[in-house]
Amino acid sequence: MKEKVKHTLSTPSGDKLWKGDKIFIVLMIAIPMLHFALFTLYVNFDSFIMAFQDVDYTAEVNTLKWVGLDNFKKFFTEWGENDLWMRAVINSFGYLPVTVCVMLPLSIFAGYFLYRKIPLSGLYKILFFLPSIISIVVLAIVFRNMFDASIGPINWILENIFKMSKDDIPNWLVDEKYAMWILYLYAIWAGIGYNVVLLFGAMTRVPTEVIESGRLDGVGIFREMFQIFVPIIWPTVSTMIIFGVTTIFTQYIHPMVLTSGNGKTYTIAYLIISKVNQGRLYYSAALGIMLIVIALPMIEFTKWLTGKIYDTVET
Amino acid sequence: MRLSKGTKTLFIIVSVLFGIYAITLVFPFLYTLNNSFKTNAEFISDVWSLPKKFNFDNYIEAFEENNLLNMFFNTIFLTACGTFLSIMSASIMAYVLSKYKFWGSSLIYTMAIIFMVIPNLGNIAATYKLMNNLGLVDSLPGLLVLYMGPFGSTFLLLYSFFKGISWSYAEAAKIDGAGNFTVFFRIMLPQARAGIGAVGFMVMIGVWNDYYTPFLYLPSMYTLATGLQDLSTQATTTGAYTQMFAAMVISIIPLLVLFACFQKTIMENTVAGGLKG
Repeated sequence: MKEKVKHTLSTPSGDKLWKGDKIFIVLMIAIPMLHFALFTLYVNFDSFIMAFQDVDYTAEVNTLKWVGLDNFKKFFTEWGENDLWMRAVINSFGYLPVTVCVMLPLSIFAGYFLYRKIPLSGLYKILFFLPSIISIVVLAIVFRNMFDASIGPINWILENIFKMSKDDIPNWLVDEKYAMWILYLYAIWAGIGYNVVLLFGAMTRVPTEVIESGRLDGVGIFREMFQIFVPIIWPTVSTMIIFGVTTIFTQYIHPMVLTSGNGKTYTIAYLIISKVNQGRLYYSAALGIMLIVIALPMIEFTKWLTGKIYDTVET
Repeated sequence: MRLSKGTKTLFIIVSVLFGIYAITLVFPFLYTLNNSFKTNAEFISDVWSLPKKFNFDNYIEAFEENNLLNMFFNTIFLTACGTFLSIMSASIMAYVLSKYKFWGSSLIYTMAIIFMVIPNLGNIAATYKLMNNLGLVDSLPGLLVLYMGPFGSTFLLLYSFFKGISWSYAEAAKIDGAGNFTVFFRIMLPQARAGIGAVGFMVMIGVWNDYYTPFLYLPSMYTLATGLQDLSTQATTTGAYTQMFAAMVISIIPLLVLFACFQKTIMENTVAGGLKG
């Protein structure tokens, strides 16, 4: 991204725009800008307004009324009623260690060995990439089938090969003790391949002289991986860390396609979307505002923090 | 460079570990494919066995009973038009903002960047309300409108792409009497086709696989994604598993064929895509 700055902004027809240029610009950007005005500017503005409104159910015709902070209060009441929100917050924040502490090191490790061209690495690169082009719905269905209580191969193996009795084998995606863990497993299983390919790509761009001089100094494989490669490919690594933090607030698709929230697998974003689906738009808007207020500083802080580490390294 | 014995052993161990993971990726699909040729009774009695004979009844039924053709049509229509509109919208903004300086141009750019940072989960409710008021819920064109947003990672990539294309081509064309539109459509767009192609492919996969948008905004029509999800929930109650397997196999084939044909380009673009971080 840094090299972008180097280009000077070229004005096509000297410093002055001709009349023809102006007409061209207006005609070209009219529709995209209208979209931006409606679906970004207006929608964000309206979200803010909606958070303080609700449908007036007492009126005969559907009208809106100002409700002050009622929508926000409703959230805290709901929070106190049962462990729904508590679980959602815990489940969502669980994605952070899963992506940053498990998936990322594993991806660096795997990307490195692909870079070193271990046996069959060409084939693995293709296979690891496959989940990223297959529909998440299809991936989720095949994954779910593996863990299914009646048709799943995993339970079949546990029952017939490990001779576990049927009652001891959990119904993985329904049992609240296991369901969320299976979702995290899915996140790693389906998501790691794309990271591996990206990190592999970043590693191939590292100048070979750097690697060779390290090897002459007798640097071992693991030091090479984490002390030479990681600092140099830091921009890619930090993007993944930032993504990991963002996932906390945007992860809704896993519960949606794997469990429909059963087994207490809901996440914050999943609950916000399900409120929209239930027609509770104004309550959902208030939840969205709270989400942004918490998410934005956290994401920006992560950006700042990852920028601090190895900020001298240029790619 | 020669590898020491220890390194070689390590490489083989890692290769085996990779192999195990690769099997977990491939096995579920083989399971699906294998069982899609069985009758339901055959499948329930033994999920492991090979089909007694390859019967394509499930495939025929999937088309006849489950409206698969309709799902395909909707998905293809949305993918073709959605990708085109999304790329057009992003390229136009990227081109105009990177090449023309006009009143408000830097303001538009700054605002676009600022709003990209805000997770759009915050405004789902407002977007739904707007779509509803515009009468766009439950219609295919409505979804296309949603896909048409100009600003996103596509915009950023195309912006730096157009920045890198020299303006002297345009000047030469202008001396020959070409107007702004000719310059954009005849000179700049073709020059950017490598970038547009790479970005376009990612957008295309995204739209084809999109579950969330049709789930929320297309409640009474099915795309492949929402249709399959419904089929799989139904299968757990009706027990019509093998039919669902057939439908799944059919739905993956187009993307697999596409991937097989353009595997090299797609992979190279992804590998290079790391640059955007």
